[in-house]
Amino acid sequence: MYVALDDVNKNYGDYKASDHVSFSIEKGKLTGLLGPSGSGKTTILRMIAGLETPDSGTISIDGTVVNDIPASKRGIGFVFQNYALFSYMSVYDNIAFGLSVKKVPKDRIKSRVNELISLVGLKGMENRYPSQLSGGQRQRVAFARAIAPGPKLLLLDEPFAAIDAKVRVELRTWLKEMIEKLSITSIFVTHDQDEAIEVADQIIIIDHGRVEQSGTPVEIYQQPRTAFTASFVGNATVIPDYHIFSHFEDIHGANTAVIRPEFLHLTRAGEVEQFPNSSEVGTVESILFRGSHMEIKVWVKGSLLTVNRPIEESRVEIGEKVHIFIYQIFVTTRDKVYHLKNKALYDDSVVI
Amino acid sequence: MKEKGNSKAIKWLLIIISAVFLFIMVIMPLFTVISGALQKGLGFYIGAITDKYTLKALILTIKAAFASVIVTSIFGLIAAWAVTRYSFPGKKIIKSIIDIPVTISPVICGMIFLLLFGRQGFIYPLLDKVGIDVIFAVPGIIIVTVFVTLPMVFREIVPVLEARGTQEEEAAAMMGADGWTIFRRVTFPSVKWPFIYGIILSASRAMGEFGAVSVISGHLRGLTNTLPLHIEILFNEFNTTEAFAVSSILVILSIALMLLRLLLQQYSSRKRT
Amino acid sequence: MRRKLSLLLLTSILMSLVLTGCGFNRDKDGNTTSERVTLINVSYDPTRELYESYNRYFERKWKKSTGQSLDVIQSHGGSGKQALEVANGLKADVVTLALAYDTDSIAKSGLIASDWQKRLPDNSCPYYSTIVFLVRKGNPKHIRDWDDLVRPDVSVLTPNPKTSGGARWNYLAAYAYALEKYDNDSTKVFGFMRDLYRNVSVLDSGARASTTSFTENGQGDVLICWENEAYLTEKNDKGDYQIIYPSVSVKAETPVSIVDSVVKSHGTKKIAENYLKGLYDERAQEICARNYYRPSDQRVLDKYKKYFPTDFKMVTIDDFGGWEKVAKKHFSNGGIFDRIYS
Repeated sequence: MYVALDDVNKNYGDYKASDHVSFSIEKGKLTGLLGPSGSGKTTILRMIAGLETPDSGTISIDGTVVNDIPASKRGIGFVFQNYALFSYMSVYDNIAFGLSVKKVPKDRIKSRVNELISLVGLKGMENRYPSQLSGGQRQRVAFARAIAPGPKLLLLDEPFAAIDAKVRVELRTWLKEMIEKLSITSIFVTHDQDEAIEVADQIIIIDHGRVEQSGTPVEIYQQPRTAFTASFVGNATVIPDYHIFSHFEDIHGANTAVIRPEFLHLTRAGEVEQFPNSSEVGTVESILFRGSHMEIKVWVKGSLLTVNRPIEESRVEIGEKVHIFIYQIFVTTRDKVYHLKNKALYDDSVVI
Repeated sequence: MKEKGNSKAIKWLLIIISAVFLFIMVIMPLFTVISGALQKGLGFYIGAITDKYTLKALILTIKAAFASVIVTSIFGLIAAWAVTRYSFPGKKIIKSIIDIPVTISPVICGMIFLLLFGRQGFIYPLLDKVGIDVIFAVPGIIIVTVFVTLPMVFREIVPVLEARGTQEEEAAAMMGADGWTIFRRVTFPSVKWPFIYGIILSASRAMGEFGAVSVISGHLRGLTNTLPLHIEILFNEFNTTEAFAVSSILVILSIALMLLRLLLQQYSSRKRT
Repeated sequence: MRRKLSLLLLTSILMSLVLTGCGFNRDKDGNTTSERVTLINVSYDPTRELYESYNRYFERKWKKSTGQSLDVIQSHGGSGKQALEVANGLKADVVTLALAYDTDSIAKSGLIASDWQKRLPDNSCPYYSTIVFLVRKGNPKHIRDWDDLVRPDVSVLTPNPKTSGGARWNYLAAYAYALEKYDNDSTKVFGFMRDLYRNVSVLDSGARASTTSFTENGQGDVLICWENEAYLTEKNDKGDYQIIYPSVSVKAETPVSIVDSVVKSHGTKKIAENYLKGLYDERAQEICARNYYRPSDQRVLDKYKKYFPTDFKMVTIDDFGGWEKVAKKHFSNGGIFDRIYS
């Protein structure tokens, strides 16, 4: 394992920022630390970087325990949330900084910096100052600056948080390409699950300083193993007691369930329904146009569920009575998630 | 339409009020100094400012200002760095204590040193043995001047350092820079202008300091009289024109400092583009 | 290499500082033999012009006779304040203050020998002064003597005797007059002094300040001041003022002394003694007279009698029983002045 954390703890007074954190990351992979604000993911990142010190536990990089190695000597590239570009230096000097500190000869610096400037697509901007760049451009400079000294590990702290939506998507894709091209082991922190799912090879879910789950994006999404993961990822609605829906197996001691829009199907009166006897009746509460689909909120047995409807299909109306078929739900206890399918799917008999 | 007219009227009203204040409180006094200095003609004026006691006072004033600038800038940088980049117990108290020299009356500052270094104090016999005179001698004047200007650079750069946060410095550290390199290439450039302003403030204050210096000077002519003290003596001896003439030196020095700062700013912004 | 050089430089600077303080250039009596010598003369306010002239004279005289280049550095200020500063560490080689009381206070702190006043002729007073009235041109209020100063229509300026040496002489001059007028009847004397100080419109902290209030600010009808100050003011503002001599005044003795502990450590005992002795030279006495200080040399005094009338009674501090007694009786907290001016 390239980066490994073993039972790392960090407290700020009484506040537990990291609680028995253990995980490992493979070389060359792009890993996302995903969690809500205040979950402790940035703390973990900063401890790996050496900007914070763990109270206990070890952090190893490439087989070496780095707890006692100062940040400046760990050979890590760090991209900050607010870029942290040196405002009194030009783009060129910013990128060259790490190399000039290492006393690399001037001509080698020049070729490397120019190479990076082309790589990140900022040719012609060498002499500009950070205040003269857009957010996206600044982030690219920050990236180039971090990798210029050839670090073995790249850490990114919410790299796109300060960038507007459209640019964010473009940059996301660009970053993944860059990292793949350079094949540098990278860890980034984000609270945006779309970003994590799209970009990362591996996702680690963090909440309240604890590791909730670690796995590929597909695993995280489709096979959540903790209640938090189930409710955090995807457009989740939490149902306090799933027994109100009659078609699901009872699990002793479990009441809470998580439902995602893609688990539901909405049928209007008069439309063909696959499992008419196993669907619930609901009343349409609101309709939202989401560009590629309609997002419809429906009251079903006292719970407000969210379901998506293709844009080509006929429009529902507010107050309309519709049928909602629930394909599956995640029933959650504290640390187990049950993936329950609607009993109707098991029955071979189809009632006409 | 009427609203636009109103806001224009207010704009000019505010500008005019500010201009009137400036005129009464700054321009007129300055003009009075110049006209008072030249009352007995240019020849007399030149004689007054080249008088040997005036020149000695000028040199002493410059020495004190120079010492003040050096000490307050080194102290300011070190203390500001310590206070904004590290956490340690008593940090808040230290920040407040540092402000004391500029908040207490200069006369009291002088009296403190009188008590400390005067013959009744415990330090005096030690210094006397080594033959060092502090109060009523040049070293005392320098020390007292440094004391009253001590926090000035500190106060200018701390808010800027606090506002900027530590991220740029962390970034530099991540790329392998040591403390001194970080300070030199990242921290200092960001506080350069407040730093320079702090230096100008402390130099101006040092040159104009009167109360504290007056208490510990001993008024030895040609030895422990700074320009402000010398001006007071001239004034008390009814040599009003000379007093104004020597005052004009201080005025010219202050204006020179202001111009220096303006020039530096111009040069730096030109360098950027 | 650079480090070694700067260390060497630092050490040599320190060494030279220490060495010059060590008095390597002293003769067998402990007097300095350097080519250039500095002498510090701490004086009271009005003597600036006097010492400017005298210092030029003495510096030339000393160079001629010994070859040493002398530079006398003056300090002027309120006599009491100067005495305090000397007692507190101001390294004066000689003190030339306004009254023996101030020099005595320095002696009390151990810096001057207690018998200092006997070391030079005339109670160590090469020059002295007296107290006079300064009035406006034409003397519009017809002020002739102390009696006029207690008239209800007359406003008087005199400084505060608790803070000003000169003011104490003023007070004693008035007191001397009252003692004579009321034949030592203390109640009547007290009443007179009270009436006098009731007429004081501004009680400044020093003699110079009173003079400023009188001349620049145009306050008061009569200023009680040093004789030499009066002449100086009259000279500066020709025709605007007149000097009136009262019938009774004081011999304001302004003694001079070396400061023993300072001259010992500076190695300037010989030169300081000569400096003070030089004030008794005929040339120096003429300088005093020309600066309106009464020279102790009777012949020179006679020569300038135009400025120094003697046709009035001059009372000395000894007639009052000495400064110690006077300070306690009149100027201490709760003393006679406090009761007069409360």
